[in-house]
Amino acid sequence: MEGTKNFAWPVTAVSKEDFDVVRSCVASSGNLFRDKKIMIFGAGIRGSLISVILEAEGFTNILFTDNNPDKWGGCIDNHPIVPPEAAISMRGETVIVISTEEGDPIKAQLEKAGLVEGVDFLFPKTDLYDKFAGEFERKAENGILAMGDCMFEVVSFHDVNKQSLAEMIFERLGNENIKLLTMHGMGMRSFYHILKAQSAMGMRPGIFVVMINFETLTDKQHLLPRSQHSKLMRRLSDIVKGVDGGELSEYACITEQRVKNVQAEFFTTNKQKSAPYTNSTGDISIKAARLFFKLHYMYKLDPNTENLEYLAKVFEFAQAEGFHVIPFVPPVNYELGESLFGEAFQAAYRRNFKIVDDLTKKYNCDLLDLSHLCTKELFSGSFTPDETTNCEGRQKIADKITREIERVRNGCIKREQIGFGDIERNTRLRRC
Amino acid sequence: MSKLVLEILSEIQDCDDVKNDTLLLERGILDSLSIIYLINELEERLNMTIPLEDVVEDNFKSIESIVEFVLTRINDGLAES
Repeated sequence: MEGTKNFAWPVTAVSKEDFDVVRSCVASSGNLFRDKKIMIFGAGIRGSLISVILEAEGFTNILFTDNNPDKWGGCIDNHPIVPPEAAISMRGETVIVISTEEGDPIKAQLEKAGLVEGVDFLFPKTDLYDKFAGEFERKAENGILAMGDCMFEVVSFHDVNKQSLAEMIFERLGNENIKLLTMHGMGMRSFYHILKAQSAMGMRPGIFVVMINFETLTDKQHLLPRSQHSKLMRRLSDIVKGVDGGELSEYACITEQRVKNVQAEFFTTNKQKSAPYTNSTGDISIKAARLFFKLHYMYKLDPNTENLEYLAKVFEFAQAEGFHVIPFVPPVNYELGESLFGEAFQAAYRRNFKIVDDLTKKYNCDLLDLSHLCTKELFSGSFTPDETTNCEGRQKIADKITREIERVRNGCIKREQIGFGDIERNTRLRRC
Repeated sequence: MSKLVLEILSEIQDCDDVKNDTLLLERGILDSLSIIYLINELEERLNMTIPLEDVVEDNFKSIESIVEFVLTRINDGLAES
C-alpha cells in the first residue's frame, strides 16, 4: 500500500471486553469468516483494533469501508478502504463487521441496502455502560470500592495471558468483597458523585481505592466530550432515583451541557483526514509519544483545578463518613519519558506529583505511588505513553493494590511505596 | 507569533508545507488531542490563559486565525490590567 494514506491508529492494547466480544463473534458466526473476505465498516480506532484482533486469529483477507469520503482510497496498514457502495456491491463475497460502538445508523444503512444481519453483516457490540451500571447496582456493604479508568480493563495484544487488571484484583480479593467501577477517561468529579450516590444507596465502602490519573486532572479535560460519559451519568442517576438528594442528577445535567458546548472534539470530529499518531509501520510515532507525554504528564497542573478540588471533597467525605481512602498514582513509562525529554520530564512530573502528594498529606492520607513500579518492558508497547501495561506489569500493579488493601484492612502501620526518590532502592517503608 | 504557532504545530506533525492560511482541521494537523496540546503550549510559552469558551473552530482554523485570536487575547488582557 505504498503511497496511500494510512489511517491506522497505533494499536498495542485493547479493552478485554472488546477482545472477548470480537472473538466470540468469530466463534459464533460459523464459517462466515473462513469463507469470505472481511469488510470492516468504520476505518477508525475501533476498526483498527478489530483488524488487529482478527489478524491475530489468522484472518488476513481484510478490507475497510467508511462513510467518510476522505478515507476512500486510503488504507489501514495493508488493508484498502473502499466506499460503502463498493462494499455493498460485494455482497456474497464479503462479511461486513460494524466496528463503531454507536453503530446503529450503520446497521440501518446496511439493512436499507437489503443486507441481513448474521448473513451479510455482523455487529459485535460491547456495552461498557451496561457493565458499569450492573456493577453500580451490585449489592456490597462495607466492602471495598475501587474506581479508575480503562487501565483496569485494557490488555496488551502481545500478552499470552489476557487477564485484565480488574480480573486479577477480583481473583485476589474475591468478587464479593470488592466493586470495581472503571471507565475510560473518567475523572475525579465523576468518581466523587458516584461514590456519594453509592453511599446514599446504602453501599458506603469500608475502603475506597481511587486512581489518580494525571491525564484527567488537567483543567482541559472536559474539552473532550468522550470524558464526560453523560449518557452513563444520566443512567446512573435514574437508578439512584434521587436518594442522594438529586446530586448525581444535577451532575448528569452538567455533563450533558458540557458535551453540548462547542468544544474541541465538536469541531474536529469528521474533519480529521488522517491519524497523525502512527509511523510507517503502524506503531505509535515518536512525535505522537512526545505529544501524549506532554499532554498526560508534563502540563502545568493547577492546584485549583476542578478534579483536584473533587479529590479534596473525596477525602472530606471519607473523613465525615469514617472510611479509608487509598489514592494511587498508576505507573508511568518513565524510562520512555526520560528518553524523550531528558531531565525535563522528571522535573515536570515531580512538580505535578508534588501537588497531588501535598493534597493527600493535607488530609492525613498517604498516596500509593506506583509511578516507578514498571520498567519500559512491562508496558504494552515500547512507545506506550500511558499506564497501559502487559500481563507482567498488571500482575505487579494488582499485587501492590491488593497488598495495600490488605494492610489497611488489617490495620497495618507500614506499607511499601514505590515512587520518586525510590528509583534506586525501588522500595521503602513509610509510616502511614 | 506565526513562527511560534508553526513551531508548536511542528511538534505535533510534519508541517513543511503548512502556510499561514492552511486549513489545519481539514488537513488533519489538529484534532481534539492536539488542540489541547496547542492550547497548553500557548498558555505556557506566552504566560496567558485561554478560556474554554474561546476554544471554537473560528479561532483555530489556520495559523493566521490562531495568531489573530492570541494577539486579541493578549491585547484584551493588557487593556484590562
